[in-house]
Formats: sequence, C-alpha cells, structure tokens
Amino acid sequence: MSEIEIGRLLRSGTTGFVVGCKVNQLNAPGFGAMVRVPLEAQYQVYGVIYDIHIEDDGLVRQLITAQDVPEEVLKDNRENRNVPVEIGVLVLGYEQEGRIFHLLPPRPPLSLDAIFLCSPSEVAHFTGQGRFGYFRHMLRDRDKPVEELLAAHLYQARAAQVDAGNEAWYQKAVGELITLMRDDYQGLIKTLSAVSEI
Amino acid sequence: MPVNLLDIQKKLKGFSAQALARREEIAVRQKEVTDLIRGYAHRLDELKARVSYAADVVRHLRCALPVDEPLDTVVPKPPLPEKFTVMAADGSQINPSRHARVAFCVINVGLIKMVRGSGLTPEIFTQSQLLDYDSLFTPSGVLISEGMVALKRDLREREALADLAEDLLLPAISMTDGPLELYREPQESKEFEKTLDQYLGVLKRLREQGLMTLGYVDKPGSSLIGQLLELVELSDQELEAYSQRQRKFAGVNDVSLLSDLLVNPGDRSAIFAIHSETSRRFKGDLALHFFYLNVGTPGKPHLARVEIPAWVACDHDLVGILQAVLTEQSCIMGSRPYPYILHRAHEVAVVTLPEHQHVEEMIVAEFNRRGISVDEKSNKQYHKDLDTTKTRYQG
Repeated sequence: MSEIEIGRLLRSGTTGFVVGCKVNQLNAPGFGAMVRVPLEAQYQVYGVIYDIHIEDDGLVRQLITAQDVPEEVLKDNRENRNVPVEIGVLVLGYEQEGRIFHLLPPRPPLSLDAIFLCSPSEVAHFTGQGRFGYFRHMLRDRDKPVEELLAAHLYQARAAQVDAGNEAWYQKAVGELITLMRDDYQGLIKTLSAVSEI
Repeated sequence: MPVNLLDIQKKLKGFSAQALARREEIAVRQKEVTDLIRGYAHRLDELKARVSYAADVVRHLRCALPVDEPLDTVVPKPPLPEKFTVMAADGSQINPSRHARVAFCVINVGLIKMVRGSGLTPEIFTQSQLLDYDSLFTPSGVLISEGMVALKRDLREREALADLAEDLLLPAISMTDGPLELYREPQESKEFEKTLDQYLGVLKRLREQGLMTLGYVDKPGSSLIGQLLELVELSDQELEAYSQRQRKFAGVNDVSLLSDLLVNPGDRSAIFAIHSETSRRFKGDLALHFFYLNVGTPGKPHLARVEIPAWVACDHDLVGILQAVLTEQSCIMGSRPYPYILHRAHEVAVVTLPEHQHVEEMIVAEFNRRGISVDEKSNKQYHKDLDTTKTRYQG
C-alpha cells in the first residue's frame, strides 16, 4: 500500500471530490494520477486527478507587481500562507472487502479524509479488474479535458500493468475506448490523437 | 437604506471648490516652510534653543528637534547586508463589549521572523492572550475602553518581539506598525503610566539584546518639521499665546515638504528627535527619533516615517541597515510599497468573526459548566449579527 498522503478532502459528491493540499505537498500528485481514499476497514474509494487548481489572493496579486521576489518570500507564501492547492478528483470506483467495483461508491468521502496516491501495484490492481467499466465515468463529463485525461491515465496505467506483467492491457484498453466512443466520432479522433502521443 | 446619492451629488460641486481653495492656501504656506527649511538648514543650534524656550511656555508642545544633520539632508540607502534577520509583530483584539453575552477581551499577536539570505522558510508565531477577568474593569467598575485595550496590545506586540529575540543572526531588525511613541487616553493616566513603564522596560530589553526596533508609519500626516519651523516664525509674545490648535502652517505636512528632496528610492531625510510630553519619558538610549524614508519606486516616491530609539539613531551604520531593509521589504510589495513582513504579521494576527464567536462560545460553555450565569447579548447586537455578510470581526 502507498502511504504518500497528498492532502485532505475539502468537499465531495458521489461523482467526484476536491482535495486541498499545501503547495509543498504538490510534488507528488500529477494530472491523470490515481488516488484512493480509505474510508473504513475494507472500504476505499478510487479516483483520478483531472484538475489541479491554485488559488490566488490579494497578496499574491500584489507580489507579482514586484520586480524581484526573494526566495524566503516565495517559501513563506507557499508553505506558511493559507492558500491551498485544490485538486479535482473524478471518482472511478471503489473497493469493498477486497473486491473492486467500477461503479460509483455507496457514499462519498467526508471532509478532511486523507487522500493517498495509488502505488503502481494499486493502479494495476484497480485497472486490471473487470472490463474497463471505469472508463464510463471518465467519458461522462465532457466539460472536463477528457481526451487529455484518458491519455494521461493510459500512460500511467500501462506502465503499472507492464510492471505487473500484463503487456496486453494497453491494447485491450484502447480497443475498449474505441468501442465506447464509436458514436462520438469527433471525440474518438481527439482521444486517439492524444493517446497516440503516449 | 442605501445612501441617497442625489443628496451627495448636490453637494459635490461646493465640496470640490472648498477642497481646491484649501489646497491653494496650504500651497502658499508650504512654500513659506520650504523656504524656511533652506534658510535654517544649518542653523541647528538656533532651532534647538527655540524648542527649548518654547517647551517652557507652550503646553503640549509637539514638534521635531534637530539632532546633528542639516534640515535638508538626503542620505541614499547603502547596500543591503548579505544576511540579516527581520522580524515583525502586529496585534489585533476582541474588545470587551457590554452588548456581548459575557465580558471578555482577547489580544492576538502575530509574529513573523525571516532570515534574509538564508533561503529558509520564515517562521510564524501566534500568541493569543485572554485578559484576566479582573483587568476588564476600571476601578469605577466600567469596562476598560478600546483605547486601553489598544495600549495593552501595543505592549504585547513589543513583548512578543523581545521574547523571540534569543540567538538571532545579526544584524537583526524588529518592527511594528505605527509610532514607537505611545499616546492614548489621558483619563486613564494611572493605567497608562503603568503600561508605559512596562513598555519602556521592553524597549530596554530589545536594546540589550541588540535587536533594532522601529515603528513604521505609512502615509504619515504629521507636521513635526513644520511645527518646528513655526516656532522660529513667532515672536516670544506670540509664542506665549500659541496653541497647537491655531497653527500658522496648518495643513502643511512633512511628507509634502520632503517629497521634492527624497526623490530616489531608499533616500532618507535628516534624523530628528521627537519633542512631546510623552516622548520625555523615553530617556537616554530610548529617546525617540524619526526620519522620513522614500520606499517608493523611481518616479513614484512614497514617504514613510520611521521612528527609532536613540541608540539606533546615533549609529548611522545601523540607520543605513534599516534604510536598506525597509526599502527592500517595501519593494517586495511591488506597486503598493509597504514592508512585506509587516503585512504578513497583520495577516497572522487578524481575528476573524468566526474565531471571535468561537472564543465566546468557549467562555460561555465554561461559565455554564461552573454554574455562572451568562447574560443574553443585547438586542442591538442580536440584530447586528443578523447581517450575514460580515466575515471579519469589527469590534
């Protein structure tokens, strides 16, 4: 199990949640990375990072008008000030009593629940179960950068699957995407274009 | 009800005309004072003698007192030290209120310590003090005033700096917002005297620790130099009838006099001592001094008044360090120069409305546990609190 905590939950819903972290915690999570939120024994929610958002405030706006900002001031703003980085997570499924479900979870995580980055073995475990049912959640919301998100996810998941000895996973995943997007030609072309850059 | 903008609009023409006329009057006086600065620039002994005479005949005299630099002195800032410590403290408070359910007072002091040149993250501290219940009331039984709380807060700010002053990398500078001089409500003179003694004790501690201390006054409206030159313009007879309320050079503030002199960022004026009733209590090494400093940018000067104790004022190398550090700190804030570290101390210190409510709840809960009766808040306060748009505690 990975124990890289990336932050705590600010707000949540059934389909997604927002995590707050300090800027100095930001080196771990990246766009498209998978995270998990352990809720209770034998139950945890899985998701994928689709947005990393850094808020500004009056002082930050003022500081950008300065010619030079000393290193100590940068660190003060990034580590001491209460300006959290907000990480948007799309829920992909959950695990209960050792079984992976690519369905929306029965209940969302609660405020201040800790969020952890998934290790490669956890990514391989979640993505290797079933028949890519979690792709539905990624394709549902067209307001999100779906094509880029899929490409980033496939890149990371393929590496995890190769490490786990499942070389064929990537081909099957792309095949499943083509099937799911067959009625959305424009979306499919954009997705394949993004995926081709992997 | 919203403001009746039509009523305001009707007055605007006359209002602006008054402002213009007043400015023109002040400009004439300003020219007179500027000429006097030139004329008396090097006649420091005459000026000192005049202040000494005036101090005996004018009640509540408050003015600048030249030290050893000509009045029109301009000193550019030296280079910044490679490494130094800079600290700031700022306080905010929850004032006791008879409208609240329970009388209480909290003084919250925010501190920040930055070692420039170290690359380290600055350290942040908060010290929150719930004042003793007994200290909330005057001997006559009424709640202490907001002025008295502010005085206690000023004291706590300096005490907090002194508490942090161990093992500092030198040179080290500490600052607070506002003057170093304390002047508050005279009706509470006994308490004021006690607090002032404690305050002087803390300034002494800071001096012993080698921690330079300063009070930073942004957008100063004072006319200490104008008041000094007023004294030489008046005959002895006029001086005896002189009142600070009917001044010859009213409206001419020091910033307008010095703006044309201190043109480059980092330029400072001559150092003056402060002559006032309160400042007489600051003796020897702690005697109050000040100078003006341009913390602005090229072509856009912004003058601040910097108050310092005598032990700093007498050492021009230390003053140079202050100049360089304050200029850099203000420069960090870009187009709105103000020391970054002071702003951060303020951010740390601010008591928000939810925090105020939380503290009150804690006290009420403790009272209830102990069977101490708690009042209702006043109806006035109740209705004010219905305004949900307030997010910040405003006393």
